Amino acid sequence: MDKRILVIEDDPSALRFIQYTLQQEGYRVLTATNGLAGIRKAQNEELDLIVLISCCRV
Amino acid sequence: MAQLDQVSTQKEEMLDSSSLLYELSRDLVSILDGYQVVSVALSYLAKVPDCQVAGFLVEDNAHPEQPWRFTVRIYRLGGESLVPQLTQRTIDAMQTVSEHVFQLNKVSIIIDGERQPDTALSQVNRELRSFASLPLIMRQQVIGMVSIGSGEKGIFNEGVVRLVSTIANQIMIAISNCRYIEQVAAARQAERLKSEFISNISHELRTPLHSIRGFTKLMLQGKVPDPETQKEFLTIIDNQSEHLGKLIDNLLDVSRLESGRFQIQKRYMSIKNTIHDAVESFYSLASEQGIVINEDIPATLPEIGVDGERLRQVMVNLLSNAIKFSNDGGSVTVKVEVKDSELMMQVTDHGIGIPEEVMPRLFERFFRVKDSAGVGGAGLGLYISKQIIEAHGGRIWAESKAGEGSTFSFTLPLNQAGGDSYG
Repeated sequence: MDKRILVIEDDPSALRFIQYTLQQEGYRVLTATNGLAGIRKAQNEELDLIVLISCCRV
Repeated sequence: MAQLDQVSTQKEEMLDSSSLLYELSRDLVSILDGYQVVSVALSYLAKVPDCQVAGFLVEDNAHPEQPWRFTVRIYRLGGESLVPQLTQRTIDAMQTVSEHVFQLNKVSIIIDGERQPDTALSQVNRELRSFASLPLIMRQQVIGMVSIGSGEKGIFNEGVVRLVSTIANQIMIAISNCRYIEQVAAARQAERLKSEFISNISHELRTPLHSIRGFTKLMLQGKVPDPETQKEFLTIIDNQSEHLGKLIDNLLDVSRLESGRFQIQKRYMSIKNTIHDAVESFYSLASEQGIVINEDIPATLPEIGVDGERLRQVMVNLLSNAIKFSNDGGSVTVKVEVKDSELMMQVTDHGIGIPEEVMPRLFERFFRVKDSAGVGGAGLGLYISKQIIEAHGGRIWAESKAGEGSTFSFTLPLNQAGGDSYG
């Protein structure tokens, strides 16, 4: 079975980019645009990896 | 014997004065707030022999938009019981005299009600017989007055005046220190906001740029064979470029505002289409998030003198904020009404709201609400909107309740009066 990854990122276009790139590598990608939605998906789905992209300002 | 008594009284008075001044200077050293200086100083003036009423005329630094406004504070020392005969009329008159003396820019005026009946003191009613007004001088400029009064005539002798003058100097130094501290704090705050802004704007510029580069590379590398997906990615690139362009436009606007080169080009027009176009441009974004836009706009609106493109910019800013801060599935209402001599427009959302403590700073340059649910922004939109509306002679403000939503309102005058000239 394909590995399942949940990606949490607030910027929709960045999220789409990550989703597409990982899909090209053969992963099944679930997405969420905020922490709460991410937690809900993590509780309901069996996942292999969660990628949480936290916003860094330098 | 009588001479000895006099000497001993003088000595006592000197001792009293010096201990009073000692205590005053000790108390003033630790104060950082101008208003507190005034109240402490008044409590010491109350201790000046025979002084029954004291007042201050000082610059009001609490209102930066009117830095040269003067506030008169007349205090009844010891409350009503000490000077029962002092009426509001006396207090008002004392205020008038303080202002009069201030305008005369005299070093000091000591008036005895009996001896100088034709002076400004004639405005003071009979209860206040002695009056002294001394200037607060900073760098050779009179910046305020300290005034004392008494119901008895002829009691402010040279000693008393010298004492009050020394108190006035102490107050001056304390106020001047407070101002210096305020200026340093304001400069630090401005510096901090600016560096936060640079950090924010770098992030805001980089995010769309990353998307544009990322999707472009995917396509150049031939990793997007599906035509539908190609179209989707090109649309993202297009949107992100537009977003980047708007950010740069905002930065240019701020730079123009800073250098005084910001101009609006007003012309008479029907703003109905402008309003409608601005609202319509948000239909698709709103529906993507399940947000309904309610429009409460009269069928006919009068023609007004506006810069259509700038008005659109303000509306786009308020609408995009309303949608950005709304919860999915919520609603945003745009209401336009004509009231008296102005047109009022309101954008209401039922989103996360704005914490009360940051409300006064919303329209400041570079200001962003911290931790606002991860929503980005450069802190320029509301600042620019305010400048645009004010250049039209209108007002802009916000009302909000945390957790319940916000309403942003602005007005535009229906006639030309109050706005900039056409240009």
